[in-house]
Amino acid sequence: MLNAKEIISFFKQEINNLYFLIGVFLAKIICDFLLISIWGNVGFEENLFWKLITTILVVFFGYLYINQKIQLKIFTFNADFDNTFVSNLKTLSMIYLISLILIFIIDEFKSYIEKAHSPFLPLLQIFGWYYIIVSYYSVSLLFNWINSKKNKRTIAYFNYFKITLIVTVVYIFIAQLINFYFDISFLSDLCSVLYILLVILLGIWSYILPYNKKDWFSLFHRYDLKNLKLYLTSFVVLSLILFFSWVGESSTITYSMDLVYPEMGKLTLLPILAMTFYGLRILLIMPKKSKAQQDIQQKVDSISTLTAFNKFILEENMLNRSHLLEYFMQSLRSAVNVDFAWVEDYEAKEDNRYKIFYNVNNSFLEQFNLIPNIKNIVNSIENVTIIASIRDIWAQIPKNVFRGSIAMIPIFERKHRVGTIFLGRKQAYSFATEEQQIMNTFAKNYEVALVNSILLQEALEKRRYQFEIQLAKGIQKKIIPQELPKIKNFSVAGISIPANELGGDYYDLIHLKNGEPTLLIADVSGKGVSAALYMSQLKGIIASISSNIETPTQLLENLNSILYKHTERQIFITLSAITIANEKGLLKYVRAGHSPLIVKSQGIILEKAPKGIALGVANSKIFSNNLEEIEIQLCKGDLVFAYTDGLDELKNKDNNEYGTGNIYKIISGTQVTKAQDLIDETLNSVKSYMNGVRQFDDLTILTLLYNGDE
Amino acid sequence: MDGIPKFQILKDFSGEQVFLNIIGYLDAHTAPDLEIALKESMEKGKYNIVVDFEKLDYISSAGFGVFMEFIEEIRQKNGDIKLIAMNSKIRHLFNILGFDVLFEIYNDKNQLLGNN
Repeated sequence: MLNAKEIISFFKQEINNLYFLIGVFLAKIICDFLLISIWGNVGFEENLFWKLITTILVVFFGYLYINQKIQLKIFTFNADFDNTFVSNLKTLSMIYLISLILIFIIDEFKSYIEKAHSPFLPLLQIFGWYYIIVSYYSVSLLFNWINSKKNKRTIAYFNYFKITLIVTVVYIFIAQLINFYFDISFLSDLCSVLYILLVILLGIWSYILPYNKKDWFSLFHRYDLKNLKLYLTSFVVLSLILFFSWVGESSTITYSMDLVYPEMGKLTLLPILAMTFYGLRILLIMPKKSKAQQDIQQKVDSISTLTAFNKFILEENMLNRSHLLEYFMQSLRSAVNVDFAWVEDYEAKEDNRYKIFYNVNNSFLEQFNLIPNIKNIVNSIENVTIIASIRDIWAQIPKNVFRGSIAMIPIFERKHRVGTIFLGRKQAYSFATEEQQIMNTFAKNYEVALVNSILLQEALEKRRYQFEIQLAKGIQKKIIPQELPKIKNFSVAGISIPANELGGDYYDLIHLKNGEPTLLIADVSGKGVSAALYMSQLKGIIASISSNIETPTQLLENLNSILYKHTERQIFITLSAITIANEKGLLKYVRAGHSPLIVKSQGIILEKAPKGIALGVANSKIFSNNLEEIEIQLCKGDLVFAYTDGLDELKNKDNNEYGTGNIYKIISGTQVTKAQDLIDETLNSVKSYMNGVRQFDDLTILTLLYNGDE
Repeated sequence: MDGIPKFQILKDFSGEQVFLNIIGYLDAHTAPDLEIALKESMEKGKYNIVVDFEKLDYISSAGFGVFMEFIEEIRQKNGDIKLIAMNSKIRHLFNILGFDVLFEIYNDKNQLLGNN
């Protein structure tokens, strides 16, 4: 037993339909022939019944077969309407031309048969069938063309067209019966008038159908307008001639078809008429500009949109992502005409991903998400991808979701997918290759422009940072004295060279409560900005407490207790304080973990390293218990050299430390008339030692020369 | 220096005393490694830590900072950080900074064990 599925699949095979078609067709012709030649003229009713049955069967199988053929041809040929349009037009023109030539053959054949009173007259219907197929092919193509280029406006007119067509078909059949049963000339005339009215109405609908020029834009854009105009003109002329040969009582075309089924000629005339007007209208809406001109115009348009977009990105300092995507979509929209569009932003939260709708609402997006596997498709694309409601395309949109096409443009930022822009048209075949290229260019440009603007932003920020560092450097210069105040009988000098823009070293000359000048040199642990911040904090603390302090020991104890309380444990400061106790060369010296003082006393170099823990790590008790204050008595010409570890730990290209040995050499070998001489000599020595190697740590030197009491 | 890590810590948590053998350069870049090791020991509840300096070539102020950061907390838990086997240069730095009074420093393991 055959079940329904098997029957359907049987008829889905083209070749089976063809066999049936040929079988029924041969049976019909043979029987028509037999009816006339053997039984003589059969009654009209019986004849009509026979013709009706056989015609319906032939039309049914013919429909199945031709429909499959045409569908395949229209859809698989590059799956692109614009390509198939011209080739279909050419085919149709050729078919119409053959139809016209056939007229003469039929005429000859007919007059021969009539003269010979031959019973072969029904054979003329073979030509009739050809015209029926021509007519059917025309209507199929027309429907497919309308479907491919339809919009809201044409959908309505298409429905009027279809209704008028059905009414006309039904009317022709009824008028046939009325004419047969009631031979009333009045009614017959009325019927003719009605028929003409319906034909005119059909003509109007077909003329209105291709109304929207925009729908045809991509087609006009793709082909050489001259050729397209030539094809269309010859097609329109041919179909007009065919139409006028078809129409009329004595037309042989109509006669050959009426043998198939009475009044068939009137019916098959309609698609030819529709095609004529449809083609005429397309011809009339064709733009005047040539393709080259249009190409240039479109390129200029898209380039200026692109330029505007790049300018926008550069000026948009905030770089708000969804704002950018919106502007990008609007730019693309003005470069590529679309019916609807929206953006999916992956940086946004899950429930807020779809945004910036243009002619799109939420229910549409819900529909859109019904497309099988659509999420994976959207995620996986790397280039502009088109999906459409047609077969044989990479991802088909089911027709129950919606009819049309959508271009999906993936947006990347530094290889990272951030969004998708969807541009849609209501026609299934609508994005031309050139338009896809424009979209691709836009998408690539977006990525490049954004990265550029991010780089620019970073460069600007770096410059701003540099500027702020320079400001801080200026402030720090004011913290460290450029020139130390003069002290009677002494010559003092100091220098601090940070390794980076900002340093953690410090030196100063302060006065204690009793007015004793005190030289300070300090080194904050670590380097750079954090060290510089602690250094300014240190300067602030010293400035606020020094006027109440009487001895250097007291100064260090106070500093330690404040820093111990207020700094992080891992940060410590080493500091030396040298108080000039009198004008006769007596110094008081305390050291909190700082590099020892080097003293050249009467030609002998000594290192002075009294006990002392760095500031900020030990509590007051431990700190005080381990702090030792010593006195140093200088003679005329004696030198004191204080430094931070940035000096003795300097490393040259062989990774050898500068060391205290070199400092001793300078101190012992330099003729010193003022404290600055010692610094100059040290810097010269350091320069030649380093020989271009970058200084690693902050470096500070403080020198003191006792000129003797005069 | 190619292929040889700038800084390495060999950790021994087996005994009652934790032994951390620090090797190479202890500076601002490598100090976090030592921080992690000390935290690890404290998380294991072991507050008696011995740091072996024998193979340490260099220590910067950031390196000193790590010891300062944890010593108070460890001593509050009745633990201590003891330092052994420093080379003369690093020992000199400890002396200069005055940190020798804040930590117990031993010449080698034997001296440390003898003292205990």
